[in-house]
Amino acid sequence: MYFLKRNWMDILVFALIVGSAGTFISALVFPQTFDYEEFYLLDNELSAEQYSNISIQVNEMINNDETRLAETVHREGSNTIELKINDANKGTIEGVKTEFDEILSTMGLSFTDDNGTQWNPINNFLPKVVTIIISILIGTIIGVVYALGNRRVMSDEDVKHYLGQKTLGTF
Amino acid sequence: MRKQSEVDNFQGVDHEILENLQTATKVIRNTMGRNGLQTLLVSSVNDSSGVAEAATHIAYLMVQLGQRILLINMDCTMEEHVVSRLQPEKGDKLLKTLAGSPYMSEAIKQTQYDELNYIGIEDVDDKELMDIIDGSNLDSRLNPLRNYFDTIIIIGPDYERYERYSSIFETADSLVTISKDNTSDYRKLRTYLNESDLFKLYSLGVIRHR
Repeated sequence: MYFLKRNWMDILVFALIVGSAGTFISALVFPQTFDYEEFYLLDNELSAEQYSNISIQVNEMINNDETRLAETVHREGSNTIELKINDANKGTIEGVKTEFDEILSTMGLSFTDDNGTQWNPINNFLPKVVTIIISILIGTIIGVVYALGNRRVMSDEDVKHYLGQKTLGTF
Repeated sequence: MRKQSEVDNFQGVDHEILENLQTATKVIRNTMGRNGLQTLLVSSVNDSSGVAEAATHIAYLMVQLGQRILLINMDCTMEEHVVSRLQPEKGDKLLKTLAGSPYMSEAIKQTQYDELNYIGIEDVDDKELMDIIDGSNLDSRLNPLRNYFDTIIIIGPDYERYERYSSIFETADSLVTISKDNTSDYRKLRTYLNESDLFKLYSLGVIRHR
């Protein structure tokens, strides 16, 4: 156990450094994302043709073939249109909202937004924790390997333990 | 009278090192006295400057404790440094005397400190040094000097530089090991101490060089 007593600080430092790096990486790889929804209140009722145009433009400007980022929901005969954005970070959501506002504006629709806004955070807790734990383990292993390679005699206790000698002095 | 250049190079002993090694020196003197030991080898695996510093200052401190000391340098790389500390008289040195004279006393030089005498070493390569020491029966040639000096201190060269360190181990009866904190390696130190054990050297302990 003298090995641990002698090297715990080095091992801890490596575990903390690599663990911190893992935390940073997990924040980059698994950023906080949200499912977002918002109701737009239109001044007039929306016709089926207008809604169809809005859907087409949302697909052209916001969605692409691979991902379906945003979708709209409209009940016939109502003057509301719901915008749903799935699994996106705050910046993306703000960008989509701006684009959606432009679509409505270019179609000559007047509206009030920010009604019934909901931000539902998506839970990335588990992959983040797993990443951090793995990085701490890797740091600990690196620390142990470093400690195994550190054969310096750095203290009076080292002299006694490794060499079986007493320390006469230090200069 | 000393030349001006000699005075310029003079360093003398370092008071901080003296302070640090005071207790160690007393332990060394007492243990050697109690065990009838007279020839102390100060050496290391790879810290020649630490060995030269420690041996020089231990020798000085032992003189202060009333002992008559002969310091023998067997590390060519540290000759200049030791000379700058002790300022011995000029003249024949260890290897020339071993090779050409039956009397070791011819190599002994008085240093600037009373009761501290010194045998210096010529600048030769490692192989030549070992060849001369191997064939010189140094241990028995030191015997007459043991009657005159209370303690003989030998500055040993780095252990890892020589394959045949046995010739140096067998000249001494006691050992102080210098270990430099940043470059030491306990495996190498163990090998060195195990070999010294084969020659029945009484290991007094380790002095750490920070």
